[in-house]
Amino acid sequence: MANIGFKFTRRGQNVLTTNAQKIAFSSAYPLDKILFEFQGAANATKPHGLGYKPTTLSWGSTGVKGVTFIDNYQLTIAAAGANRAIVLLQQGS
Amino acid sequence: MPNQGLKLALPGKSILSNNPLDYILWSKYPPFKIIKYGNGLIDVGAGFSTTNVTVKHGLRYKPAYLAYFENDKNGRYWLDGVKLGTLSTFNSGTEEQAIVSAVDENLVFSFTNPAGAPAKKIPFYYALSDRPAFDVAAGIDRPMGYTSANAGIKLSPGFNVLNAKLYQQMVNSNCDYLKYHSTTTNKLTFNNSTNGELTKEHVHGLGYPPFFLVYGYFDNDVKEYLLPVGTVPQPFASGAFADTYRIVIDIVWAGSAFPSTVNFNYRIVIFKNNLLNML
Repeated sequence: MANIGFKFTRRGQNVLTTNAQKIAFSSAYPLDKILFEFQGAANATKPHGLGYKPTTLSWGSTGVKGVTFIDNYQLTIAAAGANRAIVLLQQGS
Repeated sequence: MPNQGLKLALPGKSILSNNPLDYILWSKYPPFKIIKYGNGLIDVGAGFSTTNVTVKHGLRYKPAYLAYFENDKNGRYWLDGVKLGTLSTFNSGTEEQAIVSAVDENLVFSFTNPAGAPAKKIPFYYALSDRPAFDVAAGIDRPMGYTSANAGIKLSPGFNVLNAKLYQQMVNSNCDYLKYHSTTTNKLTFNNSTNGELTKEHVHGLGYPPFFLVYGYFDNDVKEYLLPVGTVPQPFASGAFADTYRIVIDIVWAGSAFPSTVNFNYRIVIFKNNLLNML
């Protein structure tokens, strides 16, 4: 990565580094921004309105990875029992 | 939305844009913060058995996490879940299973060997977020986290920067962030000539195993599943791993009646974060 644009390294790291692990923010690295967090019971839905399928992470009440469906318009909690999901805005999806 | 808060647009993009993808930072959309990386090792005995390793994080809430397992130190890093490394069988006791769970102030890493399997070493790697994986109980406030020192750069729109908790801070140079690299979409096509298991690899070009996620769905089902998943309720099993140069998708069709042709559509999301170089 060239040293042009905006860069914000992690504390203690040389701002000239090109190692992605040492850079917190950079105009070359779009960050994963959180659109919303949603917790609900099985079949609970929440529209996201993006028109594409965003990157989604979810966890169940027991702390294991949850099962969540995502389509172009909404998020659906799929697993039995409550789940919590974090919906990220994502480029190129 | 009013133009208040903190915004940092990507080069060439207007600071007045309403598209969040035009921004490096926008305080309306906090970035996915990583407050701790870690790793460990599960020493699994031979035969059908489950071994758990508990890691105490002390956060007082169940943190959102990303986790990966390496199968017997072979340089392949799998998404946590069922069907680690072997997808040709489906029944409990005859397949490998690697699962993480957030329990109280611990992360529990669990690996199940199938019957007849040799003893193995299973390294695991994880990242913890300032976000909870489940609602924080009443009376329990989320702590500052691992990096509470008032050194470095902090930005906390709407909160006093000297005492804002980590999850109230938009930027903290003591933390790392999930850094997007690329998205790849493709499909695997099952037909009568296949045996029900297909793989496909995608070169990521990073030179190290990155954090990644994979989503997929079969034809006629517009909803995506986050891999890996078992065979219930959906009619397929799935897994995916990363190594230093590629992501490999491994899908098994497990429907009761094998169709003439069916497509498994998938989406790979790759991050620049390095599984093996956790600073």
